[in-house]
Amino acid sequence: MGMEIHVPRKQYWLIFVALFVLTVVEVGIVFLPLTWFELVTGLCALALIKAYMVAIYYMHLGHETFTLRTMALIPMLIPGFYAFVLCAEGSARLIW
Amino acid sequence: MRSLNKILLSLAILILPLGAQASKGDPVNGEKVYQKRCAQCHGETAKGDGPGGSRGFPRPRPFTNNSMYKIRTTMVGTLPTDQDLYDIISNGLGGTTMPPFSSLSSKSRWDVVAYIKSLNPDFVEYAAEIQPVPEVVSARAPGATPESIEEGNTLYQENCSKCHGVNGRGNGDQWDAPSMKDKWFSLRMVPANLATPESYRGGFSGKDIFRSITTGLDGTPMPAHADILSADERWKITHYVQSLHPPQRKLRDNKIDAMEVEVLPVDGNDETWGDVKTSRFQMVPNIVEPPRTFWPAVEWVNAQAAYNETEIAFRIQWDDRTNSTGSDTDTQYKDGDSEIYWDTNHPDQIALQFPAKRKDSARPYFMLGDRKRAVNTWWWRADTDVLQEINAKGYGSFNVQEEGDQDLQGQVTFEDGRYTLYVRRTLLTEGAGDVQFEGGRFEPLGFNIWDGDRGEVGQRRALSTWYWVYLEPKVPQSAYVQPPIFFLFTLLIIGLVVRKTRAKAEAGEYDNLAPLPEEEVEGLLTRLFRKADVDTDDAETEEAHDDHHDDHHHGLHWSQWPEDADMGHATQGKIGMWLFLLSDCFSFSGLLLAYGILRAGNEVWAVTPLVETEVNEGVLHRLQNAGLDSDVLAQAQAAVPGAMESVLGQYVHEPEFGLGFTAALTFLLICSSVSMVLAIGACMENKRKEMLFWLGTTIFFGAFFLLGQYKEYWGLPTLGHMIEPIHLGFGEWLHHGLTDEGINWGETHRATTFYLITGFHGLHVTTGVILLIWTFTKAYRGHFDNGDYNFMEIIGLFWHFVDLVWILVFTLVYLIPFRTGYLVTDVIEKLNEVVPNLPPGL
Repeated sequence: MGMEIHVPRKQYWLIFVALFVLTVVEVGIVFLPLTWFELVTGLCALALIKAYMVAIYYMHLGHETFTLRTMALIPMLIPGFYAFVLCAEGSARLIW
Repeated sequence: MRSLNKILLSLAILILPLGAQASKGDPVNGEKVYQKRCAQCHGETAKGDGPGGSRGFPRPRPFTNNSMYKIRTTMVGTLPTDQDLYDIISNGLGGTTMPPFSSLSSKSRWDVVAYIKSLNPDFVEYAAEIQPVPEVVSARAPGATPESIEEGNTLYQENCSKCHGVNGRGNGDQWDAPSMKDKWFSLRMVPANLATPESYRGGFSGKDIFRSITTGLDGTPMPAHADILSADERWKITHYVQSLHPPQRKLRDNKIDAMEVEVLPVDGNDETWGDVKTSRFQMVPNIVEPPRTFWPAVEWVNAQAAYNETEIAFRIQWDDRTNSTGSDTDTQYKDGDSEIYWDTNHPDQIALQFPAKRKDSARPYFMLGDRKRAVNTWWWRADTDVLQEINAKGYGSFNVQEEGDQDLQGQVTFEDGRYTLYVRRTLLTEGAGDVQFEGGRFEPLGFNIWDGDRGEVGQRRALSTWYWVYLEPKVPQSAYVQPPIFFLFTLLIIGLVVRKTRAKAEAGEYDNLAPLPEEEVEGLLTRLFRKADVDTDDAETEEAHDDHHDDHHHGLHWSQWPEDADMGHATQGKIGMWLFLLSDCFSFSGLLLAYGILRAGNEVWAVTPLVETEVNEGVLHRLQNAGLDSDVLAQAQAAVPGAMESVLGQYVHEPEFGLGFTAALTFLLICSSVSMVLAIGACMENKRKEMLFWLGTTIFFGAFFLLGQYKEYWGLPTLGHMIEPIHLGFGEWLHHGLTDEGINWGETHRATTFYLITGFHGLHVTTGVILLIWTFTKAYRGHFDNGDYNFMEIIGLFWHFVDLVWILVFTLVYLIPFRTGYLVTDVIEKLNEVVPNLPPGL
């Protein structure tokens, strides 16, 4: 076929190991004596790193053009924004 | 292959500890755990005499010589099996002060079992006799039918109604007989009220009830029926008993849905009530304000409401074995009195409470109001049989409304151990201190109930937190008419536009529009459909192309297309898949957002045993580090259990979601992700065998994940009634799902959002597995043998997306809610109210 093909198997396995280790870390830090804020920030950060790795390496987004990458990633900011605003609003109503 | 072995090995390591349970514990460590967790009630020397023991009704069990156990799978008069003891420690005893200790590690629980057994030499001496009754442990519950319930009713009336009552309300003729005593302390006891399943000590699943009927409750008047009734008859009684209480999924509510009706029910027996939804609320004892009491005689209340244009009517029902009309309301009991009273001369009473002022955004204190905010109570007492409006600003600060302001109409009736309060009032009143009702609004509501002959008077009573009554507005007729009208109207407009355009075209109005130049059309097509160098008219070559491949018959292979300036080599299929994934991502976002908003708006999401332990430890930690005087510290520490109860006690204890098991499921998905990407890689390099292997592996992991999710929800089925259940070394755990533990759809926000989100994800996994199987058959038939990996990459995108979403779901639904630190603050606040000299907020 038209394209040069190189399958980065080693990279795939490295990502696999990283995903596994990060999952173990996630389950582990739940049991650490952290404050609620530290815990949520930590868990969200870990989850985003994992999601990023899957998207970039397993879904090959790293190999796509800038346009396609932007198209796929930028709209994700919207739910994140909503999550922040709406959850904050929800907890503000707790005065009841 | 070596890497595959590693995957499977890690998988096994993750899953196995969840199912396998050591059969022998370590009594030395068990004693340590016992002294920390159990001695407060069961006593340091295990004689059932711990300092908290006298606050329990029934009293905690002694474990020393001649100990007896109520809940056993073994025959009456024998000791329980290790598994029985383990189950009681894990699940607690419903309706008693024995909580579930599922937050303890499985090893600790087994250690406690070993310690408890070491206290009674009979466990060794009669070890051979400790055998579970086979039909109790192995039988799978047969389903109830109208016939089995009917026959069960007949058998029940013959065998059970003498104590448990004709309608199962624990008020049979023998309920107050002198023989109604437990054999440990010779204390009086009562037959269970079968209409409140939460107070069944040994659980209320069919198997639990069947077990209690079969083996009896040792040390109580409840006999074993294994020799009296056949197993079939016992199952029928089980079905009848289950029919006496609401289905498991609908045990607890947080609001009354008042139904709008044309004509209000005229009394408590009106047939209209049959159409109105019944809500159930749990009652708790007053353990906050002295003189306190520690067990409520009335544990549950059923409530209904209906309203029309001008009036609202309530029907409130609660179970009480006796109609006590004594008039003594003066007796002052000692605070913290642990005596269990019977046959006292107080009247039964009920007081519904509402906030007296509706515009105020904060509710009054839930215990009959506070100095700033009054409650409007609707109060009935049995001795005078008067129903009147009394406003209260905290207990003792009562103000009976003027004769002219008394707006209530209604009465209370008592029949077969059940009270029915019927009360009606106009929706709006003139009275300044009255609650006002309005359609579409939530109004706070709470309950206070006194059982007069059980020593309940004044502060000693059962009460509830604030719940709601919601006046459900009737759906107007126009809601059914307007949408179809708008729909037809829109159709009409579209039709007119189309007709007009056609008429214009036929009249030749568009004929003189200039056509696009030919090369421009060609360029547009190329850009849109990537058909470079294709002779679209070349119909003769179609057949020749067909011989090769589906993707070929429109011309060049996609990988030979010229690179697009924006999208590079991405095919339309791939771009389409990305767009679909984006939209799918928003669907998931919507669900997760709804979950997040509900979560943030609920102070308490779930009181699991683990949360309770954590809060307890957190509070004690803060007390110890506050630099308090030793006597204040001791006082505060003693008040912690009470404060915990008043903050957490009103919430049903919910089970955990099983973090370890879900972590294993997560690992399965990670494995399937790497195998998927390896399959695509093999396809790129045209390695057929490798491709098929990794595709198969992906399907296997995906299917295994689904199996795991099925187990998580419902537990795996045993293989038929006749075959001994297959446990694969996992024990009963394998057949036990979250639905068995009481996490049910529609019951709580937590449960519903959980099933909605994980279920939606499960649907995606199912779709993914089906797509993968399709891909596998295509691959097997050689469709990708020329290295054409486009199709597989698109399916791979979907599969990886499923994994990616799970990463977020796992974090948000399972991991983050695992801890609940802020409840500590609430408990500390409660302590500040009870303990003087405690610095506010610490």
